[in-house]
Amino acid sequence: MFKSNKLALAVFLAASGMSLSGCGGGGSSSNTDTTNPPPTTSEPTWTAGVFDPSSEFKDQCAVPRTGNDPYNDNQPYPDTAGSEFTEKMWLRSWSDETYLWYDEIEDNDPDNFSSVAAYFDQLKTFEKTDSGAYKDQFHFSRPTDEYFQESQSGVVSGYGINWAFISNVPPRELRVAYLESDSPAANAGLQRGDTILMVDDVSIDTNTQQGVDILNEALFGPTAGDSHNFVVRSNDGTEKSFTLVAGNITQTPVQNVDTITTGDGTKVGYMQFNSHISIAQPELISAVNKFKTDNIDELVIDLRYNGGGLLALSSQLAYMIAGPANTSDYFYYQVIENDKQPESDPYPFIDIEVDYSTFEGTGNTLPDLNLSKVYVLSTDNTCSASEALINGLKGIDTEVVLIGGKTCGKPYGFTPTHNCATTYYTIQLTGVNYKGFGEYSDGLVPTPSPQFDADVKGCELDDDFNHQLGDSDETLLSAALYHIENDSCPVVTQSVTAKQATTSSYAADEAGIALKANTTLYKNNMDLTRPLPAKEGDNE
Amino acid sequence: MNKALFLTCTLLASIAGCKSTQAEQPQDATLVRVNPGVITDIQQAIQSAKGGALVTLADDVFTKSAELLIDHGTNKGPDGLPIMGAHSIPSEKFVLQKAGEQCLLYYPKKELRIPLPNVECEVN
Repeated sequence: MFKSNKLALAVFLAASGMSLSGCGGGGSSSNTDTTNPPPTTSEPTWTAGVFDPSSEFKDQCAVPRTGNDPYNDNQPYPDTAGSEFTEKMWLRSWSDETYLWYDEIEDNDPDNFSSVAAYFDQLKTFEKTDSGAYKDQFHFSRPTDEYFQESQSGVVSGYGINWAFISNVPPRELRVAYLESDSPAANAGLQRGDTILMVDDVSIDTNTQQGVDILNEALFGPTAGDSHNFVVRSNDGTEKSFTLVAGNITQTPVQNVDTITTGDGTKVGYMQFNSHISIAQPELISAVNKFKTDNIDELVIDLRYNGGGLLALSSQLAYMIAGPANTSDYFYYQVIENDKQPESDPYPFIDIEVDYSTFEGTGNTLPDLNLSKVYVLSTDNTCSASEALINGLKGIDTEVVLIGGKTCGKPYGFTPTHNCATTYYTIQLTGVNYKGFGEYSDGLVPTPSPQFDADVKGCELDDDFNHQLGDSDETLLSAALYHIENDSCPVVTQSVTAKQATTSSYAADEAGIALKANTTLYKNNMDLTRPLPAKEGDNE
Repeated sequence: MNKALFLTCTLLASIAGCKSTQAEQPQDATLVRVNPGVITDIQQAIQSAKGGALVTLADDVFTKSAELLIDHGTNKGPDGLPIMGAHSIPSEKFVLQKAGEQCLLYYPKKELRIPLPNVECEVN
């Protein structure tokens, strides 16, 4: 557990190390030289298989920025005069030093690529997984200014609607997956399952660029104060019209906390947990306290739309599920980096509340349920830190029963690194549970008869938009309740091969113009920052 | 004895002093009302405290809690999938406080308190 003194110290040291080695706060570079002299060495050359330290090429830019960096206490930009070649050489060395599969990168001549971006795009493995998918599907770069855009934790612009894309091209099917509490959409009466038919008099099936632009703007890109008209068909078949005014909406990461009593008297706690963001911590604690008060026998956590976020928060939730007796002698997650990086200490089960502005423990001990089994509801939007929760619990033999769809398969993480006004993301780490398992890049698969390591006991079922989340008749929750009573999956007529809905707008790009949704930065990702131990003198 | 009396008096005086100071001590607060002007004031105070661009705030900022956490924003990768790495940057925390009749924005990281003269808040 986190409060173990030895481990706490180890975590403290490791966390300190991470802070130093990470991309750091605010600065666009670790270079502290503010005078920006031009490089004194001659133009570097590429020699296949020979890598100079990335530090030798850092901040040598084709177009160096001048002036001061508003995201680094207005310190001068660290950029010096360089070239596209020096930028490529930095990427090459940095990838060789930190990329998880650095030995699978083909060392091509940087001069053979027309741009820095084109060169970066191929600095990765092109190996495939057992399923035939590319092993590395998470290789990005963004303008650094965009990276540093900030917002209040959990705040998104819009109406408070989280969409499910059943079909993204005509004939489109776009339905409400869930709503943020007290949002314009919730207050107007929209409900999960509502199917969008028309927006500002444009059919959802429009296939002109102008029409799609209108849909994209109204559905996914409204700024606060924008007003748009919607026609939807509800689950009962009625059509309804709404005028919604967009706002800056606070997400409700934990919803529908309830205790359900089954026919045989079993008390089942249920909560919908949508995102591992810092503001979820008090809501999770509150939910667990309620379940303790209700003296639940079983727990169902609905992670079907939880794309991840803070790994520390998933560790806290794992602790709250399993309790001290089941976690005290084990770790939650062991980071695996390439063999050029030092081995880090394992990530513990965190048993204390964390101040996410400092990553220090507050000293307040978390409540726990001391359960040996948990039901998790999943789809392919169940990603990263949510998958780590499932895998972390399996690592300590807490039984996880997975109900729903295969998870997204993202056991990877990276530290965004800045160079020459661009922020790069390349896979630098993966993680394993206490049993050493972490290879689920094709997703964790619910199945009644697990055969492979990534199989998880459970029932494969489609998401059910015809019922509200938390409704005991909703297919996934209903199946979990059935499983609790019968230790088997219900027989359903639903086809598991039906198209899986996704909250990503890019999953069903078959023909026609696809809609493009904005997706939040924290979804489908894992933030590996680890908390520091509680300060001495803090409450136990 | 005289020494003890002196110490007692000093202690009492310091307690009294503490009490009078305590009345002006900032206490956590929430907004009495929020509107675009108030949000702009808070955005500008945040920017002056920590630098960077104006931060997107919720329409109901500081109405339910005195504490505000700020994360890096909401963008996505070129393939449409969200991107967010395993960075080591904690959230930025700000706290709305009230000292006397003055609302303040407290930035613990730098121990800064920025007056918000046009903002009404109340101690909960």
